[in-house]
Amino acid sequence: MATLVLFGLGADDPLSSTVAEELKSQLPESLDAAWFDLPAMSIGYCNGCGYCGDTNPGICCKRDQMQEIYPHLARAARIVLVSLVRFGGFGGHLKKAIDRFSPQGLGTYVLHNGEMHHEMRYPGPASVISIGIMRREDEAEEKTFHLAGSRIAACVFAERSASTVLAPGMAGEEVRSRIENSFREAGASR
Amino acid sequence: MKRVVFLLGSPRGVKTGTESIANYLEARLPGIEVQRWRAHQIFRDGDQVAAFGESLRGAQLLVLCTPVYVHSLPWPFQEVLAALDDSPNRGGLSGLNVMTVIHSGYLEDIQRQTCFEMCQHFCRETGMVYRGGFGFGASPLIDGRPLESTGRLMRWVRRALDEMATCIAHDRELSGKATALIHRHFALMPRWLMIPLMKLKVERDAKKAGVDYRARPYAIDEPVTGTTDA
Repeated sequence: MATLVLFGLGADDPLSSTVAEELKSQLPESLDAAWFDLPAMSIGYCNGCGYCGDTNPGICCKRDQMQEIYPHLARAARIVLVSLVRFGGFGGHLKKAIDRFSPQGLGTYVLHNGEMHHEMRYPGPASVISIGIMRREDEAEEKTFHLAGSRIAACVFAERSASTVLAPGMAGEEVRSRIENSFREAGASR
Repeated sequence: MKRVVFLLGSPRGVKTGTESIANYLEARLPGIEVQRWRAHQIFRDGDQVAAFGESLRGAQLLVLCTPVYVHSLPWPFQEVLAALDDSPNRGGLSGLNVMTVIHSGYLEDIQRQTCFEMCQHFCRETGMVYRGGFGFGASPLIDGRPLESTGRLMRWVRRALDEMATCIAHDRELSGKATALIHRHFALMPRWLMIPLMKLKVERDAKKAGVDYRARPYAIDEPVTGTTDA
């Protein structure tokens, strides 16, 4: 199963190494995983130029390391998103990459699960798993993060999605359990 | 003189729906000084976060006006909010009133919900006071034109903004009337009609430009061509 991991945590971010280790244990080599450490990559922000929609459909004009991610995004059967949580949404490193998902969509719309969405240029993934790390526990922001995860899943027409929120100080066992549960919920466990 | 600060989220430049909304609202705030900041310029033109934060001191209101980018706030806009929240001087912003206008192509409210919640969390984190906001879909149809020239297409948006201007002028929270007005926007246009109409437009534009709008350039084993420095 082609798996794309967009890892938005830097080495100094809370739980970074714990989450990375646990994710790697969930992703044996047989699962064909492509892992991208976003903070170490040179990725510009989407400026909505319209090139990918009008001028050269499906292609982002920015020559940066997002170009390495696009082919994996196009074929991923499972997408794993890892990020700090900011105001309930994805943190900056991941959000910048997500904004660059635009070439994935066509200019046309369809109804998907009763909502308008851009048609997808490629088949959607089977599942999207969002893992957020909060600076401190906050019920309201956690609720928003689950919404943000489900919206991204809807955007790429994922058949299933799951999200979980972790907080600094959380025991390794709890981190493992939450990540395992997310993979299970998304139908993507080992 | 009262002062209102606009923070605009569109990273596309100045001929955008976001600017059209801001222009329309500003024109309805006579006697109020309006300062306009564009999120993508705050970082592009050197680090202007401190200057932006300074402009908020003593202001009556901060208006957050932004498009939705992939179901959330555009990255530059979110980064400005985060930088303000991280600023050592953010304490001086406590109590500042905030209103929001969130727009996108999609018609359903749920498509803008994440943005609203994030703006409210930003207010809570910084001690600012959320005074209400509204959102609407089909905003690409504005296409950078003045809202006044969009006729019936955006009439309910204009009326909701009129009401927002009234509330700002009277230092009131955004009224339920503004929300009721915006809910009439495209209320009569069924999606089953809108979707094929928009598809026809895409097909026509692609044919005119001589491009395959369904191309799959990033499919594995197919070469990626045509990237530019645009």
